[in-house]
Amino acid sequence: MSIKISDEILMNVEKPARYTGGEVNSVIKEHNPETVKFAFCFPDVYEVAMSHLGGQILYSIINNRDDALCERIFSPWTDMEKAMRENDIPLFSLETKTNAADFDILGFTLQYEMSYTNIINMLNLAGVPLMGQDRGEDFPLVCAGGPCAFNPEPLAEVVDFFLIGEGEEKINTILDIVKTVKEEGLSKAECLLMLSKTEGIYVPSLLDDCFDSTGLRIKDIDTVVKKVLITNLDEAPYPKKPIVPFINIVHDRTMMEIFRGCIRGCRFCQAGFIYRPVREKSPDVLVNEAKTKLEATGYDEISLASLSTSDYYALGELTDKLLDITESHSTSLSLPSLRADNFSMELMEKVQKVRKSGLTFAPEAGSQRLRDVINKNITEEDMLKTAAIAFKGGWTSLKLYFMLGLPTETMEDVKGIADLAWKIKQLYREHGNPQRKALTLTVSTAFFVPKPFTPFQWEPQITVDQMLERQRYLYDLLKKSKIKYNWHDYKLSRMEGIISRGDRRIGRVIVKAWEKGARFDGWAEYFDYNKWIQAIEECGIDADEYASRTRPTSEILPWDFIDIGVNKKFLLDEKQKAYSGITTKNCREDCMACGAACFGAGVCFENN
Amino acid sequence: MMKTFQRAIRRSGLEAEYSHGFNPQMQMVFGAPLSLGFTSEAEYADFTFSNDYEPDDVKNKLNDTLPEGLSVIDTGIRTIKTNIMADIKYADYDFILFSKMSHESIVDKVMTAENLLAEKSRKGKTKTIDIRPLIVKVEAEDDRLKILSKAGNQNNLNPRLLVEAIRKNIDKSVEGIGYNRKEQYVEREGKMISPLDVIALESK
Repeated sequence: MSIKISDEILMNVEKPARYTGGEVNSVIKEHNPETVKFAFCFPDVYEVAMSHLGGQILYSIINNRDDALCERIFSPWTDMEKAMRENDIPLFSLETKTNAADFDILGFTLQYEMSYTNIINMLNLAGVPLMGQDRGEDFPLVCAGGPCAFNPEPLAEVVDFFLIGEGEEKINTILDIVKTVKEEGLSKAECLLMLSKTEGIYVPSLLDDCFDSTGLRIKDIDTVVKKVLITNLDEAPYPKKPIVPFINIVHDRTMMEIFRGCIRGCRFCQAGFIYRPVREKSPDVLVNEAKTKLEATGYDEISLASLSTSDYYALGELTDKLLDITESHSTSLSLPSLRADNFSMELMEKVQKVRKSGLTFAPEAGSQRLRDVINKNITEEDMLKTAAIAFKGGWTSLKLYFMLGLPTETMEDVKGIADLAWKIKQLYREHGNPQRKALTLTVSTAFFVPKPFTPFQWEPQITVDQMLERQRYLYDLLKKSKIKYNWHDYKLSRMEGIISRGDRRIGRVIVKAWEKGARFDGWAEYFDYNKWIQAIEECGIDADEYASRTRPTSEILPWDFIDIGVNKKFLLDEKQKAYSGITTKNCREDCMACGAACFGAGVCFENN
Repeated sequence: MMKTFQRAIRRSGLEAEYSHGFNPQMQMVFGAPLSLGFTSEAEYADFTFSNDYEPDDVKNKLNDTLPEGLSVIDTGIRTIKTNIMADIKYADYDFILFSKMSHESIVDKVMTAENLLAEKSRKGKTKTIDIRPLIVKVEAEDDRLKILSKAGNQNNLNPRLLVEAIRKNIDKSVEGIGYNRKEQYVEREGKMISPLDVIALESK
């Protein structure tokens, strides 16, 4: 049944096009009883959700099937939520305005922890019971995937099943199983049991007897869930007709994923481990993809997406070939995520040819000592050299990203941030053109959040007092040098620190915080730390136990039953090396036998 | 709207003319801007192509790729330099009006008023203006009110402002919904004509 949303409601909310659908390349299919109906749910607002490449990939795979359909459901912004609640409008899909509760599967993507209350809110708006055990046969299956699913435990009591790894690898298997279940009239329990036998799928309810009534683990878990991934990206499906929004979205351009994973192995970076091994698409495949996407969307900009663009093995060839297309079509090409070390003049000129965007370096730490600890293999010399080239080439804007609170950090390391920024500022006098245009230099810091499946997964996050002390210290130093400083809210980092390594007990905190009105926690204007503190207290949780405690390496971690290919021994070795300040070579220089070769693909076999 | 058409043109394979500046932009001008939430039966735009296309060819190619609810009704070749945005002088709207007072007396009061004050807010600032000179004609038809008013970048009246003025000066209870633009006009020799008729005039 299609839900009617009156013009009056739409006229009174910000950006009605967030809710109206009908975009070019959106797919509307008939809702037959036998069709498997999948709702791709992104727990954030339209502009963010539509910028997510993974969603577009799943959308096209599912809609390419005759026996299934995929529609989109995103978090309504707070004004729309209010209108929906006042007018008894349930959560609905953009394509056919179908009630979310009428889909067979609600599939959520977990991109960041602070979107979890939005998941709870969406289920509630759909009239779907929040806890898996309360959802009877008539309610949809709730599943989740994405990077945060690598620690699924905080949402284990909400979500029926998780897909650990890359969704496009197993989405068809999931749909096949649900189709069989529908045809044969099997129960949800039978469906989940069938799903649990699929590689990469975790059904948390099957482990319920390992936990007590508070969500505390009381027994060893003998299940192992191994992540799934696409081994050959050249053969992987990509959306040939991406949806083109009517309103501006965060990434309003043709996005081209050039590779997955990262050869670097920065020790704080979860993506650098969970997406191993690195797998690349070949330039010719990408060029065809670019042509197809430009023709289907009418976009005037191509952007390359990856964790570190300049590490792509054939970047020169690819950019040359893409520029052939873009220059003849008045299209621009942007290359984000360039590393400061191998950034060449030639490459810079290529980007410059069409449009000069700002430059961004992410040294992450202010001193060489600390950069060695985190294995960020960039030297100050590299950065200054690159900055000099950029300034000579006419760049006038530079952003520097750092983290505060990395393991072993001292005030001396914090001072290193201000020193580096100062040197870059001086460099502009020498190589730039300060008379014509002043340098716009911005330093941004975020607080380190220890993440599962990194060598720092056992590390404590610094306390709130330490956070404030270091931020204040840096603020004063940069103020003296008249350098612009942007900082992250320490309260948000603290909450991320608590949730990212949380267990089932943290799930109760999330629901409780939502009950108190928490939602859109990733948005500074809505994040309310007090609601979370109250929720933590009411749940009888010790937040320090999650965030700021050194976890013994003998401890069984909530996510230990998941196998990402990279073995724990490797992570432990990396932790030890971090403390000794020893760096690790990248995957191209030398194989460190992290374990990811077990997938039989990618960079691990490049030289064989 | 601009972006939607720019992308549609790029998808259609029609070759548009771009500006030659640092940041090339597709040459495209729209008539009077349409308020958010309004429907319209008559929007006009000037497109510049780098090839000589048949007008019907442009129409068909765009209609093949425009999103649902948006279609090109007619096309013609312009020969004069003035752009459509500067050229539009009047517009016809209609909308449903809920009121306690009869529509006939509202129309009568509007048409006989010497002035009609309304508060116009722009960028957070409110100023009181007299909208009466902007109104050419108001008529009642069934449950709808029809208005012909000045439009364009010099003098422009948003019919919502008319409803606010009626609420303030004539009948407190009024609410308008379903705003729809029926037509836009340019002026030639003191007469209002449709922009597409101008093309016929020009080509004579």
